[in-house]
Amino acid sequence: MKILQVDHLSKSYGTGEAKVMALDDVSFSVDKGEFVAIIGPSGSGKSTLLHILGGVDKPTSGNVYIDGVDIYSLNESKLAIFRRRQIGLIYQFYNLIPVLNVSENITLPLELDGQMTPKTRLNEIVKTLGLSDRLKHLPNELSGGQQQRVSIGRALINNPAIVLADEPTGNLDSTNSKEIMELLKASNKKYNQTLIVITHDENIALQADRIISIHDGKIQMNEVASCERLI
Amino acid sequence: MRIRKNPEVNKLYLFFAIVLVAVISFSIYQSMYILNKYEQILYNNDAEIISSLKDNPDAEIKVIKVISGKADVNAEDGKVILSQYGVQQNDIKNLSNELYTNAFLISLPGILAFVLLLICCVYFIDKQYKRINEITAYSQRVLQKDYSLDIRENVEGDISNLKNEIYKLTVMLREQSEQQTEDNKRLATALSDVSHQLKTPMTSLFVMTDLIKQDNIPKEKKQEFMDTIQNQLERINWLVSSLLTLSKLDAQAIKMKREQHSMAELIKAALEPVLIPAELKEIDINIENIDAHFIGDFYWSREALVNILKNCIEHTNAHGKIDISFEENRLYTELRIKDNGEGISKEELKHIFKRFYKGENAGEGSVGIGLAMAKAIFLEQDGDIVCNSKENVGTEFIIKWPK
Repeated sequence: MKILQVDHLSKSYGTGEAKVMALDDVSFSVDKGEFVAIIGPSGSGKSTLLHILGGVDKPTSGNVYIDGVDIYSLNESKLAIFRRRQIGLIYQFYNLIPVLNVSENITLPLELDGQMTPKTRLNEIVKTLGLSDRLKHLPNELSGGQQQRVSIGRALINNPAIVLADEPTGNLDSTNSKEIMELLKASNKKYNQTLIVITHDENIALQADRIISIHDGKIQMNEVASCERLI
Repeated sequence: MRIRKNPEVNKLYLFFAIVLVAVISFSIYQSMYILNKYEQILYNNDAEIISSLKDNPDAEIKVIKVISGKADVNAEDGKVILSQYGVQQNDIKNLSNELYTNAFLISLPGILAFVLLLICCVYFIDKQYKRINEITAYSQRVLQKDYSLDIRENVEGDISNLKNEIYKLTVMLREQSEQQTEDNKRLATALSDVSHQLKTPMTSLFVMTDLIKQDNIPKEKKQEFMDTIQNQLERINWLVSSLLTLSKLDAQAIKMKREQHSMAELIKAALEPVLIPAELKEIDINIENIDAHFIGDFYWSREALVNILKNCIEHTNAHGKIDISFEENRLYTELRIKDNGEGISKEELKHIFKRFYKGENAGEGSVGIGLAMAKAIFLEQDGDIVCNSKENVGTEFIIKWPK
């Protein structure tokens, strides 16, 4: 089942001489439960792509369908609610709310939606993330790896249709990076959670089911991850 | 109206009706009270005028003063005079009747406002119940296995949340029903595979028993046939017990223990049954010498590892080597088994953990069950096994036990 479909997506900045094509006729689709890595050098348009997939930046042309909904046909307020319910975002710099504790940060998307927090799901998620004994801590009392784990929890709490991660390990040392990737992969497996990770780290990309590589706003390669990494 | 079928709506309407009656009665009472006060004032005023006319001459000025409220006159004197003429408060100019009929009109705006409010409420309630009915209709369609509708509306509020959650349930149902269809198909193929697998040794058994039945058979030949029979029976036995294990794993009838064990011990136990074939092929097995532990089921993990090691040895040429290494961290314990054998092609790699899948280079008598069982065993322990391979270079199995 296709959970994400991108049709002829283009995004340009500026006009005339100064016009820059950040994305140039990009099309691909992602099945439910897939783990896709998007790689490319900086300036290749991968972050622009992620922002458009996440419904935070409008494309110049083309459509994005998430779970069958053309997200850019929704108006601003509907898109905001759609985003809250169907998209989980993980950023390089965690973007946690500094005055809220771990548990409040994780349940924020539910609180915003006026939903009651299902205790069992929260407990399960914090247990998987190894945060059970840190629920009352504030973000500044946590290490980088722990903060990123909180933001993973926040992305997962709503059972979103897709989770988008923008350089999730970009700010972490190698041990923590490995741990974060393992947790993301575990959530991908355990909850059949569709996962799209943007990275410039090839070792991370190789762990995905599929790698999409972007250069100068165009898809250069879109294939099932190679199994030849041991060589 | 359909929504009248809801008892809570009926209760609310009854409440509205009572309040409406109360409001109308109160406003009529209120306007009557006000009118009565007005009459009093009027009567008082008239009495004051009469009183000012008591000693005549300057009447004109006095009357004007009284009307404008500037004169200091006593209404009581006037009332006495009025009563001498038989005029009481009620008799003033027949005003009362006219005013009383208007009492209802005066309270009308209030009543109207309330009725309008009621209409708004009814409209609102009706709308919300329509949304609930939509959900009912949707659920009915889902029950008929029609999953095509999408009731999400992406607006704020509890009913929208409810619709969203119901949609998620629908998606889950759809996935499960697809999974079921898939499972049924797989079961059918598996059954035909199993019968096929059982049939081959059985045919051979029939042939052998037929041969033995002949009288003029030399003793050595007989012994040979018996050995073949024994082999085939062992094969059937192995196949049946593996299938039983697999089906138990499928049904989650096997409870995997979660105990801490030493990695070195597990590898030692798993290597035991494969040491002889490895020695025969002169395969060099290197085991990393570090202290690591895993949390899982020792017996079943060993069972799975034996299958993997057998596979590695089978597909590694003589004088090849197998490297076994492991790593333990906060999240999981990882075991890597790497050979420098013939490798697996990209196309085949996708299928190696599938049941009854036999690769092109599969050994004689291979059924395609060992790796499938290993995968099932590790998944059952919440772990996983993956395989990397390159043709003519080697194959690596990576197993993970989570903590």
